[in-house]
Amino acid sequence: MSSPRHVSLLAGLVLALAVTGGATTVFKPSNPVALPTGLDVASDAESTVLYCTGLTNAAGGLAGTAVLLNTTSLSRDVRVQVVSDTGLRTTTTVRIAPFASQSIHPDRLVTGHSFGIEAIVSGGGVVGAEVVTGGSAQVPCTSSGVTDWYGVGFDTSVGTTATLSLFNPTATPAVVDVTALTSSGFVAPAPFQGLSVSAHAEVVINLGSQIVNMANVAAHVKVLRGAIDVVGVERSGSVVSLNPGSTSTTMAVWFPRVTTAQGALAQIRVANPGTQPAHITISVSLAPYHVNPFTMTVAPFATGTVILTPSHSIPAAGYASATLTSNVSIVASLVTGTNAGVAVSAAFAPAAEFLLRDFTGRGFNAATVTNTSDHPVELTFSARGVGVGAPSSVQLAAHSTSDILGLYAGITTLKGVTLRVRASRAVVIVTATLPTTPAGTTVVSPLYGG
Amino acid sequence: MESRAPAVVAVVVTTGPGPGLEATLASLAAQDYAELSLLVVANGDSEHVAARVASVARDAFVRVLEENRGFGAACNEAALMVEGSSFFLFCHDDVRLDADAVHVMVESAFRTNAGIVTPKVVAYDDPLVLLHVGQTCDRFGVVQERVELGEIDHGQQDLERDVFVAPGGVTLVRTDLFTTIRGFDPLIPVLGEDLDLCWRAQVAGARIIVAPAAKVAHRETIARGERPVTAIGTRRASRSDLQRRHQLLVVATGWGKRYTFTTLVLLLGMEIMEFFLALLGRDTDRAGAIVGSWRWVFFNRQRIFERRRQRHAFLVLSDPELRRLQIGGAHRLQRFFVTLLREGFDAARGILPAADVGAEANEETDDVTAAMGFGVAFAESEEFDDLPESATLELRRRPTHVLTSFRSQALVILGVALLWLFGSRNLVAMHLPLIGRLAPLDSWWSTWRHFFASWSPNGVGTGSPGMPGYGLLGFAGTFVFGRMGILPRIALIVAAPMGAVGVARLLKGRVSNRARVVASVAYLALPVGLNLINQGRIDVLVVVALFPLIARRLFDLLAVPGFPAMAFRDPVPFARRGWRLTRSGQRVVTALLVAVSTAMAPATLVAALLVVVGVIIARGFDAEERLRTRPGRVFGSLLLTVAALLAPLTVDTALAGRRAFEVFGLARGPWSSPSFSLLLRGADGSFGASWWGYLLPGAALLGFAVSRGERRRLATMLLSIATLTLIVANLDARHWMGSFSPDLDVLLVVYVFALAAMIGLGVGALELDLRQAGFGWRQLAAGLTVAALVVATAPFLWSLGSGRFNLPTTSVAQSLSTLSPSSLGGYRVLWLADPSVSPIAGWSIAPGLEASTSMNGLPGGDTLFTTPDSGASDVILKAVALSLEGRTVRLGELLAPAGISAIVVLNSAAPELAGVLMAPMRPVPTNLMTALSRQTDLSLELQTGSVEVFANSLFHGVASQSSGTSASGWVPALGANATSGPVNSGATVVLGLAPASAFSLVVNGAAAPRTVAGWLGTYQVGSFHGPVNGRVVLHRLPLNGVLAGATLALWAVMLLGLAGVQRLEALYRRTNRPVVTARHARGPS
Repeated sequence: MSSPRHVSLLAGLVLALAVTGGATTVFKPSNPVALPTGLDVASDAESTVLYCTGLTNAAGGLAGTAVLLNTTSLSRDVRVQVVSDTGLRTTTTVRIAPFASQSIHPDRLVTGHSFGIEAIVSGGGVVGAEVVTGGSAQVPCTSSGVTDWYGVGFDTSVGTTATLSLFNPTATPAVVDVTALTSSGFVAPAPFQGLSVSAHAEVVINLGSQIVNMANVAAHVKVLRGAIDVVGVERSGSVVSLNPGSTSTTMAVWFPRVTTAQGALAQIRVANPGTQPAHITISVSLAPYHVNPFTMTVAPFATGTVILTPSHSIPAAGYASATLTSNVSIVASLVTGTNAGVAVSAAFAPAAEFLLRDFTGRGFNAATVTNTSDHPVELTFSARGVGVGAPSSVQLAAHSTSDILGLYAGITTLKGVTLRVRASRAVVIVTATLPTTPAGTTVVSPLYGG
Repeated sequence: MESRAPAVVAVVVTTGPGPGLEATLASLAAQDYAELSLLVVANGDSEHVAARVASVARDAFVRVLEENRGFGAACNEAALMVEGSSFFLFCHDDVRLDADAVHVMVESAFRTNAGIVTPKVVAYDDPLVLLHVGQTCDRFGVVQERVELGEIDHGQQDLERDVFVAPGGVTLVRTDLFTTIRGFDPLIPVLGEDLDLCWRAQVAGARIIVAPAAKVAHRETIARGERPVTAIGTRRASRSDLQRRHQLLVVATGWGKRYTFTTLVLLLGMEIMEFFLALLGRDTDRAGAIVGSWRWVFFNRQRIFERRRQRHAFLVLSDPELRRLQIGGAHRLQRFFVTLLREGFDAARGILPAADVGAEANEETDDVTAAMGFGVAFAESEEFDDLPESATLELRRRPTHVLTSFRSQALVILGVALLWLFGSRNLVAMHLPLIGRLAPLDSWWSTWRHFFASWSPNGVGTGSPGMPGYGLLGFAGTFVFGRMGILPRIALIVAAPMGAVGVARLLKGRVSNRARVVASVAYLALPVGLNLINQGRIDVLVVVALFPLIARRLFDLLAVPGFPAMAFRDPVPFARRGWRLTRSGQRVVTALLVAVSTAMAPATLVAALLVVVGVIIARGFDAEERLRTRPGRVFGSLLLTVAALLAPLTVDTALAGRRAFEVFGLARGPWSSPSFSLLLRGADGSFGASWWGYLLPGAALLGFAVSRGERRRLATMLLSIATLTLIVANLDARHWMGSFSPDLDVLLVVYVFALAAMIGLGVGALELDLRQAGFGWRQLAAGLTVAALVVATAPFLWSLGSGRFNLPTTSVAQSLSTLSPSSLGGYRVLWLADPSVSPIAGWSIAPGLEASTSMNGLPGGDTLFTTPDSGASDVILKAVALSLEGRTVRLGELLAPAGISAIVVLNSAAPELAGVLMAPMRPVPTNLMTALSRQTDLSLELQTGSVEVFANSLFHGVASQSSGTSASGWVPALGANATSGPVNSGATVVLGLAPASAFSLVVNGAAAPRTVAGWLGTYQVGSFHGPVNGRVVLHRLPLNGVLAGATLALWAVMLLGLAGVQRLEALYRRTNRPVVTARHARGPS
């Protein structure tokens, strides 16, 4: 057995074993966690669902509509169920023509103070947004419930009301814990613990009822059982805003469009839900000026604020781009407005696909696309509307923000246009602001992505 | 003031007719030390002692003790008689002191402030040979000499120094020290009293000095066996027994608590190893001494507690300080390995030489060989190293006698069988959990019906032929008189031992019976069988039982070196006597075995293919191998025969299309499949996952390394098979072979079979090949092999503890209190789980996700097997796949037509209760949970780490009805079993039973009009006055029954042919005989 042939056999066996063993050890697959996402996936679906919550009746100050937009070339049947905080509910069926939209007025369908809307679409490719009457605020409807939700930047001081609208769209009764972080630390109000949200029911909780007269309150909704849709609602003076929040903490946040206009107010509010102090650096880019980075330390389980506008360090010269980095995971939001009131808008997570639609009919004051990565990314623009051109692709440099109108020659205005932006990698953020005075005080979330 | 030397009392203890007493007394009498008194203690035997003493030393005192309680007790007695002396000089009666010995020792004691002084001890017959110059010992009480055996005294040891032990013979002890430490311990009559006294003296802080200037000659009559040990308490105890028990006593009482614990644990570990090696070396005396020492210590535990209390009274040195005075390590273990390395395994193991060697040797050699055995390797004496080279070679080349007799082998087999029965004691009567394939079997009759059935309820129902496994179970149930519940228990308990027997049969004629026994035990101890038992995989356990038999026959057919043991018989016609032993007959036997195994676990075919390919690979590299068979043809004919024998399964597989490969197994989640290192250990479960698991594969590899000749060639083939299997299993575990995912556990059976056979060949190589090899690495490999084999038995023994091989006592499925929906009606439960966790056979949706259904509750005997063809059940699979891709939010609605009331997602087969229940966690794809939680019509009912249960809020029964023209408002129909019951007049009834064309709904005696939409049948119930009853009727041609009957007939013919049934021949002849008779009858007329 010591012949060279046997030796070669042994060597071959050992080599084959080593190769397969090494390869399977190195390339060990992990358990898939995420479901496939994207408008293409959704378009090909057997059924999809949209959840919208936060709208109220006229007395509540957030009367508005849920606008459903069919992005496909096929008509879609949608079964819409509207529930109110009183427990009443109604179901209706609508058909949305190709590339058309359909508005749902919840306060006309069911009686109540606040509403939750569930729209089950036969097929996919339908997106939706809640638009407050007058177009002062809009937030996208979500396509799934969440089990963790963070919202930062609420105020419960006099003249401001901050509420959370919790909508359970599933058949499973949900149980949630709502805790809060303030500038002075952690709060877990007893009435907000073990809160039950029945199946297909909507509950509104007023943060101010337990956290009295505080600025910069962060809320954390932990769903112990089931999954729910959460939207933060703030009425600050005459300004209302819908905060879609975020489902996870992060160590880097981008705010590509921060207003520096005269008379405007812009703050970045940060919450640190961890046990270690957060050392935060905010880099502000405002061409052609050089702005020194801001630094801040946020204690564990506390919140902090950085004022960007008005600021002696930042000239009033249009939109600045702010990038926040932290040594630990945090949650951040952008608060913009005037002395008459402020609006809270959540930070957007980088994604590969965005959909921007002008629901108000007023267009956008600014719409930008930002590449958050260290490498250039290829962007593909396509639009639907009157007088739009063919789709086109462009390269966007690393760590840069560009105006969409400057990148995509297919459109000359965003008014009345549905714009789709696709990136080669999930590293892009699309940001838009509604036309306001002063400019940039109302930031809206894209319909899809982010 | 007169100056006087300190008084010394010499205590000479004599027992029996001590031949050297006079010389001892004379030498004491001749001492030049003026203050020496002499006290002789006659220990039990007083005859002539006084006279003998008087003849030599007139001034000596004599104390006669009635009974012999040992040397220590006698010295204690003497000490009580003496007052005013400064030193005691304790002497044996077989010593001879130089004239100045006492003088020098006392002087040395004063100069060094020693508590105990020992002289230089030389051989009695040859004063130039050193015996002792003090001794030392390790923490385990094993004494080590400071001189080499037979070392000549050139004055090289003549340096006064501290030692740990003053060896018995002549010992000078300070009286106050002797009193403080309470003298000798009477529990130690002889052999070890010196170690004990010195240890306690050290603890008390006394110095022990060797004074080489004082010279004493010692005959050591007791140690050399010239005189028997007759003291009370030594009855039936050998010297080895006494020495071991006294060492253990000293160790157990010589340390503080922490040191005692660690020392005893280490000692126990070493003695267990020594015990097993002693058994292996047939050194029963040593094994008995080991067990006896611990037993003796246990019986004397009160005395041990007392000694430990006394120790505290005079404790001066701490344990670390005491430890520094000793030698490091474990002297005995060191000796073993040194001997192993220098002399080889046989010598280290200590096989006793044949009787003629002792007869030819001189007396001195006799002494040496008497101490041979395992003893030499582990003994304190150094003689072993001085054996003549020829003797060691002789020892090395002499075959061992361990496990060579029929009696010893039968005893080992009986012992293992008893151990196995002990380990499976709870499997006999415990309630079997619903895990693996342990779903309760249906009755004998129902099981047969499943085999012949035209329809089965798997998924949403299928009309595919019944799986052959049902036929096999029905056939097996016949032998237990229809008590089907016994069958799984038989499989759990008997399969692995049966496989072990198969391994032994495979090796018959290739290695010794001893090697076969070891291989069989290794097959049992390898973790696959144990893991399959605790996971309830009775399907693969059938493979465990049969695969060694299959492999042996494959080896025969493939003409592997050494196979077949006997040449095939010359061809004889089918069914004639002896046909079974022909090549054709053996092919059929092989096919039958493979078919039986394949019926339960179709991956057996893959296993057989791996054997064939492994043989081909090895053969391709074997220059001596001549191509005598065509392996491809052998496997091809085997495959065809098996396909015919399992015709229903063959038809199912042929119809399965892209799912055809799933017949061999479903893809497990790569994230929870065993890693490469676990596969190397053959571990797919809780057993074998620790480092112990490497021992047996390591032993197999070492066995391969030391083998030569024919054994090496066979081992090469086995190694080739094992490696190939391991590679395939590794790729399979990572899902790198696409939809071809043969059952991983079946592959591991092949792997461990090859390992066990290699271990058997390795033992054979140790017996034969090692002795032909020169000294070298092979000896080390042999030692490691044996050590691995011995140590690997420990976890196997540990697995016996639960009495059920850790088979859970309950299952996650059973823990679900109820799965029935709130509304009445027949229902299905959808089970989603990793294929290795699912309690029911199903179809794959994605790696790590199998879907299956059960009717009206938990799985039962009608869903043990499923066809690879999913057929209409694709609606369920596609719906779940849609949700997994995030493409639906109304899974409940999609599943409602199938009557799915609940979705059970299992991550583990059994609930985890720390320390009570253990089952491996094999989670489904995590995004499945996300997908299910997004469904708008599913409500989460239960959520634990092991299981999640979702209720379908749109459930409306397997049979549902809707009154009027509205398509909504479906409610269950046809009662709880969905086959017969009331329906509403004028209702539309939908039956969730596929295929729809096979069913009809008979309402009040008349068939209702049917519309088939997809797989669903819709029936329009007419308008009736009064009660309306419907009944579902199945209309199918009994093609499945015909196929099953034909299959059974083929089996019957094969079995009858193998049995050589003469009736067949008779029948054949009877048909021809009348013709011949008639011809003869016509002739004369």
